Amino acid sequence: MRLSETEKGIHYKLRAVADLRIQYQCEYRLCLKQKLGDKHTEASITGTDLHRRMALQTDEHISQISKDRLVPVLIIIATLIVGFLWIFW
Amino acid sequence: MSSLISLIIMILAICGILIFLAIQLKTGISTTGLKIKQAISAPWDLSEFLRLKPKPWKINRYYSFTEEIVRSLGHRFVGRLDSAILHWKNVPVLDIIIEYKFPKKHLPDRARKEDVFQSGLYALALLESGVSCSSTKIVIIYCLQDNAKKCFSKKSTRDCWRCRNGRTFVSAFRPKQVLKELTRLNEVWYDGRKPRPSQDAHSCQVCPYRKGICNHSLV
Repeated sequence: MRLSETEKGIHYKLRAVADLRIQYQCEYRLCLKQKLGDKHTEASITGTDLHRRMALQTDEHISQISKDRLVPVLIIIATLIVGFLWIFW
Repeated sequence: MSSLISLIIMILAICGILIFLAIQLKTGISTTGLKIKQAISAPWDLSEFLRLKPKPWKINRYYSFTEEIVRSLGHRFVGRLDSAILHWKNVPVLDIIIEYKFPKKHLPDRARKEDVFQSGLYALALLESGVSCSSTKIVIIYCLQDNAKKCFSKKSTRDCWRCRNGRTFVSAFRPKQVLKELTRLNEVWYDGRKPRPSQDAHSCQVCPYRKGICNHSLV
């Protein structure tokens, strides 16, 4: 997601990855951006907003996923029981 | 009859072992999807993680980092990645870089080069920080804006990477390729080469300067 100048902090002199991506797409577009300033479209504003919401929801979901980590333990127990039955049946 | 039951139990036991091996990430046979599914939210930020001396039980556990700022002082760039999955082995290992893209109208048939390049830059910055990127995968997830809005309102983005309404592309991180492209771009920044307009109509379609400003627009 695009970084603001404030977010760059002490690294404000470094190039933004978003700018390098634009340059990769079209070198002349970055040149126009540097001359005329950033021009936002409705799609780009919506895209940035969706990224923010995505980040919030990903954090919530990953916390839920961590509860599923008991599954391997259950599989081990089930396999041991089945293996035990197989050997001693 | 007892031999048939014995055979069924044997098959079940073998299946159980195989499933267990597939789920256990440290066996190396787990898929990118499984790593995404099993990663847990990291309790530290990325810079703390990279400085960490991990306890034995935290080695090989997969951690997910979101919205982290990464920088490359060597190549002079800074950016914020959407999501990354890392784990500790002998050194921190970058498994996956995930980049979300929300096009307005069309889903691409393959990952767009600029998106792979962007993710490659994040991986390159981490590589410079001492992270191992030998098996890093780049995952680009495309989802139309309208579909994404619906999912956000339903809070159903958990399995976004395998959603049928979107498209997910996985590719390997190739540092040499990224460096080659970066060297080409650096010619404009540092060597005074004049910027060239793109010859790709798609680049013009998504450009905000195409109408009345850019003289080189192809659309």
